[in-house]
Amino acid sequence: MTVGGAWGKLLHVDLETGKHWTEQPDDELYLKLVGGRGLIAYLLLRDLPKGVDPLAPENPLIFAPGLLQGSNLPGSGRHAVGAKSPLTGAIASSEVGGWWGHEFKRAGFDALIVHGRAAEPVYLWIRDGQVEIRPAAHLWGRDTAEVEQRIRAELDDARVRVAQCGVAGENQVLFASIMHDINRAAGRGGLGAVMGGKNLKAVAVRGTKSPPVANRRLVTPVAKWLGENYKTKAGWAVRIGTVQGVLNWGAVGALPTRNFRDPMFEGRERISGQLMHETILVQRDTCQACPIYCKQVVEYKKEQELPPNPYLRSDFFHKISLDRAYGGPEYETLASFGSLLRVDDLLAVAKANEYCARWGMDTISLGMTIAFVMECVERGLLSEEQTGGFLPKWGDAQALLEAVELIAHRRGFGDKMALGSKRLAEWIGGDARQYTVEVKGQELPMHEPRLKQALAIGYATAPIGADHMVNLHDTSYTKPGDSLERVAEVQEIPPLPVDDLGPQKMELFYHEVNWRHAQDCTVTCHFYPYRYSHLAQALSGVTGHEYSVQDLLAVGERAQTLSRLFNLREGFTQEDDRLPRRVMKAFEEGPLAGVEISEDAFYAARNYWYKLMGWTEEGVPTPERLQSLGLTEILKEAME
Amino acid sequence: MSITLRVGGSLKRLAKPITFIDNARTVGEAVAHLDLPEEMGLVILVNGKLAHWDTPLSDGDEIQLTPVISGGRRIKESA
Repeated sequence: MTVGGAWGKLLHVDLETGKHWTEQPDDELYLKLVGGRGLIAYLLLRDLPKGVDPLAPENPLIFAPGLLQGSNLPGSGRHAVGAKSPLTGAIASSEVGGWWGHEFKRAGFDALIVHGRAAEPVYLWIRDGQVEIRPAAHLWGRDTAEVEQRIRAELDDARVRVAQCGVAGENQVLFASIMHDINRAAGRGGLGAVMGGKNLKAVAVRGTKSPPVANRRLVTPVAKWLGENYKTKAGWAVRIGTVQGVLNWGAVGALPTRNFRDPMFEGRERISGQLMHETILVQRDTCQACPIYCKQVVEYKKEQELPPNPYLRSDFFHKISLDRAYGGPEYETLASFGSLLRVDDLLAVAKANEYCARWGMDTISLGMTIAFVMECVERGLLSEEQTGGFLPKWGDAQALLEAVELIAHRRGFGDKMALGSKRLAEWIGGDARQYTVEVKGQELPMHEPRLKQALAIGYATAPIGADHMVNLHDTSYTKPGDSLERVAEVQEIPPLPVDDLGPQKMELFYHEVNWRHAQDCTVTCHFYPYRYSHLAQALSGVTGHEYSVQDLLAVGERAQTLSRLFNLREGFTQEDDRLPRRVMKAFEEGPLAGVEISEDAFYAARNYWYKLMGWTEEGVPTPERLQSLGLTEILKEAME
Repeated sequence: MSITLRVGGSLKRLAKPITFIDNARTVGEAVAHLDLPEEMGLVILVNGKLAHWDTPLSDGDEIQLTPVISGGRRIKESA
């Protein structure tokens, strides 16, 4: 093992036999894939046979940090979790912050692969190279904060970090998340259901060993640069965080409202990040080694009197409470439980967010599924008999809270809603499927594609279904500045219009999506203002092997390509790389009135990107590109 | 030729909410004096419609700039 940052050990655990073993991959695998999504895609191709039901024991659940975890590089307080997705049937790979990834790496392993299903609920205890499977029946059904507290008490160590599926995962809600450090979510794709389906309640980790760093002299300047620049270059994250999005997008008629039918919500000031900061926000929180503290933490006690505020209104004053242990809503959630549903009750939105942290559910897919149900109710597509009387209307905050409870516990109509909007539409039948807003079965996040048209291409082509993270936000490239300067490290591209889908925009998209994937292999934070060269240098320093900027981007391109191969194997084709009609046709009001995503421009752009990726017109990676990415040998071994 | 420039959000720290610009052929020229933070993302509207950095301007046009990743620099003194 000559690769710094790596132990040379992948930990495999079989819950059926109770056995565990370590695999010792070649250096080449570490250097080419680095970790995170790249490793997840490779392992799924290698270890999961084609066509397996994602909720079957054969679907491996993979916890994958990368080579930087344990190095204390700012931004590396993250890791990835993956499997075949029960929601989409495609690859699921979800990145999450906090402290768990760092601690797991310090326990002496590079990744954890969980096979099989335990006969009874269990949890894994991994401590400095030692692995134990422990009974977890007494933890089953409990909220995430309580589970973490109990595990720490019984292991007699307050510094244990816990990853867990919540009640929703136990009940195999198809968009159940895996919660870490109580309120940090590996949110999308239903990984919580895979975990619950294995009877695996939690993975508790504790580690005291630092992975070797080959050359600190290359890593320290990157950390120093971040320390000197984050207050300006990531100042938005310091000052308010993602929650500025509600008023920002609202101001330009791009705030998803009423299941993406309307461009904005007149009640947005009542669910804005600014209002939250003036009322229920009590703290900001962070991840391992990060000085930014971007995260929101809210608190509200039933007897509390909040300061008077013209925008604060709620049906839940003195009726609910909010516990700071569960963090607070980020932008996606303020939108998916707020504007998307026309709910303007901040306390209700925050409470629904808390339920998702307590019970482990993805707030995006959940909000979008409820929006779909509200639309079906509006259109008369659901009856009282079908839903047991649950017929939520737009703007009904009480119904939002009820829906979240029904779904997490799979009670009444919650049992059907727990399937996500696509399967629910199929169950309803008729023309219900017209009203879902998803790609490959994963619902759209809260970024309006008509405002960000390369993002639209990204929604259609991302390996996990509609996703805003391994994607391009066109609004960041409309003027000279940091984002274009980062890309200029490989290609000079001028400021481009948000609704441009020409070749230059797609070249920009190609580089930046490779970059986002590289960030998801090193598993570093997307909010960081690092340039390509910063991360390449840090990786070179940690590993002791030189990564140029091109080498780093190739890591990202490999992860995309491997993910693509997995999805193709599982039956996805270019036909699945499309966007629902609803979000392509123009709004009639607001600043985006008349701005459509033209079908011709969309497919031309998508197909040009296939070409840039070295894929055929059908979106299949060519042997030549596999060869130039150095994947041919790796894949040959994987397929044997 | 007279162009009206409206700025929203945190941009109000950089410029008055409404200013008048005499001579600018494109949006980019009209806002060149603003020293926009490098980390800022921007949505550009001209006469209420989506526009861009190179959009050519005519007499009487109104530009609206909305920051969408608000800048980090504190423009005014603060504690």
